[in-house]
Amino acid sequence: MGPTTGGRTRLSGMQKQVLSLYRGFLRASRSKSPEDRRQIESFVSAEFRRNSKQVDHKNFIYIEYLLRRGKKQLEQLNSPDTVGLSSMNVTFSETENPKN
Amino acid sequence: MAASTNSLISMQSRPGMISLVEISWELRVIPVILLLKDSILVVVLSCPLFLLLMILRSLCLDPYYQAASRICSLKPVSLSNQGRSFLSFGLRSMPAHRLRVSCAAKPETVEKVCEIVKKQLALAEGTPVTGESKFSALGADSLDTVEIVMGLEEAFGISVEEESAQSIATVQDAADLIEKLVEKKD
Repeated sequence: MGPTTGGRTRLSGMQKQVLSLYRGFLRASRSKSPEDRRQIESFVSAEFRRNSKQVDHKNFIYIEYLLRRGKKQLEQLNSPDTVGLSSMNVTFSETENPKN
Repeated sequence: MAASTNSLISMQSRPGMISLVEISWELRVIPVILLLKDSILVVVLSCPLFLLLMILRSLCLDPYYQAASRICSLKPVSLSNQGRSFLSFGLRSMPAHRLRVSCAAKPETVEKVCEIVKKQLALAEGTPVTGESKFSALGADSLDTVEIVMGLEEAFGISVEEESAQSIATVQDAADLIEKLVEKKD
């Protein structure tokens, strides 16, 4: 995220956490049906990219908050009860509220 | 303190020359004990600590010893690594990478990785992607790199750990890592 342009550049701990969360979401989406999966992936990808552009890279408190929330959402997504699409929409429509 | 002990002793002892000598002897010893009380306490209390340290050292668990041995064992490893990368540098005239492992991946693997990278980054058909292509040079950010690694995991049926996933910078890196993991799986 942010200023990292090459794979070899040192990532900060927080950047690693963000990437790890992203990886977790992509992994979680594998267990869903192909249709849901495609939708989840595009949604998650759009969300991460949007935040990486909009959020100030020095605003650590807000990034930490987003990380915590993302982890909770990932837990929800990981539970087999979450079948994907509908609950994903609920999860992420909440995400947009505090931003605007 | 000394006065109170004095009265205590004089109360216990009968009046007379002998008891007076006894008192003066005890009076001389007690202040010394009181003075040395703190240092004796320190010595007594630190004895178990020293013992523990000695036991640890005899078991090679001494933290200082361990740190030293780690440094010693690291040295030859890094040396041999350097030598190896130097060898591959001389033979294949490739840019020397830090910590490059000399087991080069098969061309098929590299080809497959290139295809997946192209698909994942939605590159134009004519874009040249070779083993030496850097993901960052192809316009991938760190999120794209994560996506690429996840795509590779699925394509090859492997699981890449996070630490190694973050050290991948080029197509060649990815191909080498995949070969290693596929080998481990079989």
